[in-house]
Amino acid sequence: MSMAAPYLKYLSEDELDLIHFATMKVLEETGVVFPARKALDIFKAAGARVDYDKMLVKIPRQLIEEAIKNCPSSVTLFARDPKYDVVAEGRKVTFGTIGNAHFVLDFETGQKRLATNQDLADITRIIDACDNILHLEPQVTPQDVPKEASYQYSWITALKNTVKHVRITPYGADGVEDALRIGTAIMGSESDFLKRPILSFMVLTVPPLRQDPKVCEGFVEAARYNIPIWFSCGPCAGATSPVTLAGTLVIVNVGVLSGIALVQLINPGAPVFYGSFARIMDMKTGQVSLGDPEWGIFRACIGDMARRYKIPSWGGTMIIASKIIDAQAGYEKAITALMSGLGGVNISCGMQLDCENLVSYEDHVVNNEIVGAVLRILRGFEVNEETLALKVIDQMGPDGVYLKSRHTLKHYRTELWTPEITERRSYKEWFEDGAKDMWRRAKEKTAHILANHRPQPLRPGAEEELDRIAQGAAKRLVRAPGKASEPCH
Amino acid sequence: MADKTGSGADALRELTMAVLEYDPDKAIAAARQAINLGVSPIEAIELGLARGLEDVGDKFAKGEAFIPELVLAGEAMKAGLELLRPEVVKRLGKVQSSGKFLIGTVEGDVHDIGKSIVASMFFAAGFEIHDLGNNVTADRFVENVERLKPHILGLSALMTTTIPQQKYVIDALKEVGLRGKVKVMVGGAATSDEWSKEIGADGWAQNAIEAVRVAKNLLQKGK
Repeated sequence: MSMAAPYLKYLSEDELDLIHFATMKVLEETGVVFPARKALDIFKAAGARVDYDKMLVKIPRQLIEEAIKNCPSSVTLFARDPKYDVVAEGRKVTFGTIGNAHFVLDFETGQKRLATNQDLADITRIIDACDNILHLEPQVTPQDVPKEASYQYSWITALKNTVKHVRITPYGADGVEDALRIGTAIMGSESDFLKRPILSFMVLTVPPLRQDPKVCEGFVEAARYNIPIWFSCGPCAGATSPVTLAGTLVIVNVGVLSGIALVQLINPGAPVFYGSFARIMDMKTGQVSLGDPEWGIFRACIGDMARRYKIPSWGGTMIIASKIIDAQAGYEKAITALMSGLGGVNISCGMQLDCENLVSYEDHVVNNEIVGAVLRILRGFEVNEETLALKVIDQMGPDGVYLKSRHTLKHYRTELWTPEITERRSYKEWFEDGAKDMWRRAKEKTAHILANHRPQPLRPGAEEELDRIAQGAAKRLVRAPGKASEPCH
Repeated sequence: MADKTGSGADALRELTMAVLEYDPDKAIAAARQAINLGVSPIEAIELGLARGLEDVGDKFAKGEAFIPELVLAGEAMKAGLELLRPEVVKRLGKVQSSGKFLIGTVEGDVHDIGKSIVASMFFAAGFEIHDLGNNVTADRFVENVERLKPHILGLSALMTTTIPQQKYVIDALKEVGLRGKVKVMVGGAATSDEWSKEIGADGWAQNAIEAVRVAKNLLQKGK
C-alpha cells in the first residue's frame, strides 16, 4: 500500500544548520533580555551569563541543546469533549483561529466597529460549528468590558461558547492564577483540569531580542503545570528583524529557543510549541503586512525548523491584509493556508482580516471551506490494487461511463472533497438563484449557524463561577482614576 | 562671512548629497565643512540638508522611494542638524522648527516601532522631537510636558490593556493645570477616533503620515 501525500521542504539540511549556528552565536554573544528577576536567577543558576542591570542573558549552546532534547515531540490539546482533542506531532496539520482583534465588521451593516462581548460569544459559536476549525483563541478582545480585565473576560466568553481547545495569553502571575481558576470551574476540579487542560498559554516575545516583563513573569509561573506553553517570536522583517528572510528566521529561532530553554529549566519535559507569526513590513505604507508570499514562506520554514528540533509547531496562516472578503482575501488565504499545510505546521492558526485587527462574522465559513480544500490536498490518496482500478478499467473498455460503476459509488465520497459554499452549478442555476458571490453565500450560512447552533453547555454552576472570576479580575485590575498603577518588575 | 562662491556652494551640495545617499557620517563632515567656511547655518539646513529630504519626500509621494529611504534620509539629516542647530541658536538665539513634539509609549507597553515611525515622520516634517521611549509613566509624561513645553504630546499604546493609560495621562495633565498648554494626540492599533474623543484628546490618526497632517492642523487652529 502506498500513500501519495504532499510535503514541502523549504529549507535544506545545510540551510537549517546555518540558521541554527547563527542562532547559537546570537544567544551566546548578543543575548536576550528577560525582564523578570526569577528568570534571570534560573538562567544564572544553570550557567548562563547574566547582566542583572541590563537584564540581559547570554545562553551557552549546551543549555539550549539540552532543553531541545527534553521537549516532548507530541503534545495534545485537550477539549471539553474528548472528540475534539487535537494531537500535534510530526506532519499532522490542523487549522484554527488566533485572537484579540479589536474590531468587527457588523453582521447586519457590514460597517467596521469596535468588538463587543456579544460579538465574541457569537463568533465563538460560529467557530464551534465549523468542522475544519479545530482550536482557537478568543477571536476578539471585547471593548465593552472593564478594559484592564478584558483578557479575562475574553477567555471566559470564548470558553462558554465552544467545546474546542482555547489558547490564551496570561498576563502576569495573577493572570495564570485566573486561568487556573477558570479551568477548574469548567472541569470541576483542579486535578481534572490539570489532567486535561482545556486551555493553554501563549508567550509572544518582543522582537528583536526581548521578553515582555508581565508575559515573562506569567510563563515562569505557568511552567510547572504541564499545561502547553506556546512560544512565538513574530518579528516584522525590516522593522524588528533583518529584512532578509534568513536573518528574520535567526531572530525567530533565538526568541523561541531562549524561551523554551527557560521553561525546560523550570520543568524538564514540559509540553511546549515552537512557532512564529513572523511577518513583513510593507515598505510603501509603513504598515505591517500579512498574507503575502513572504508570510507564506515563513510558515513553511517554521515547520522545517521545528521538525529539526522535533518540537510541535504552530504559527500564523490565513491572516490577511484585505479588509473585506474579496479576491485579495481569497488568494491571501489560499496561498498562506497551503504554505502552512504543505510546510507541516501542526497548529496552523489565523483567520483575521486587516492584519489581525478585524474579524468578520462570515469569514469563518469561508475559512472552513478553504481549509477543507487544503486538508484534502494534504490528505493524499492511496495507490493500490483497488485504487489503480485495473479490473474496472478493463471492464469499462474504451467507452465506459464510470458514473455507472459500483467502483465510483464505493469511493467517490472519500476520494473527492465535498465543498459546502463553493459555487459549482451551471451558470443558469447560479444566476437564477440570485447570482450570489462567496461573501453573500457565506453570510447565509453564517446566519443559519447563528440561529441554530448551540455549543455544548458547561457543567452546572460553572457559568456563575466564571462570571464571579471575571468580576473579581475587574475589581482587582481596574485602576481608580488618579492612582498609580503597580510597577512591573 | 558667508562664502557664496565655489566652496560655499560645494558645501551645500555635500549636505544635500549626504541626505540623498543616506549617509550620516557624510552629513556630519559636510556640516563641519559648512560651519568652517562660514556658510550660514540656516542656509546649510534649508538649502543643503532640507533639499535632500524634500527630494526623497517627492520620490516617496511618487512611489519611487519607500519607508526605509525616508527613515534613513531622516537619520542623515538628524546627524547634520545635531551640528547645525546649535549654530542657529548662536546666531538667532532660538531654534526654528514646525513645533516641538514630545512622544512616548505609555506605561506597561513596550511596543515602539509605530511610535518610532511617527517620530521619524514628524522629524522629516521639521518638528523638534523628544522621544521618551516606551513604558513611560503618566508622571514622567507630565514632568516632561512641564520642562520641555512641547506643542504636541503624542501617546502611543498598542494593547487594549494599556490604552487606559492615555486617559490617565490626560487626567494627570488636567490635575496640574497643564492640559491647556499642550495638544494631545493618541495613536496605536487599539485606539480609534471614538476613543480619542472619549478621553478628551485633541487628535488621533490612523498612521504616521496622517498624524503629521493632524498635528499641523491642530497647530494652525491654535494660532
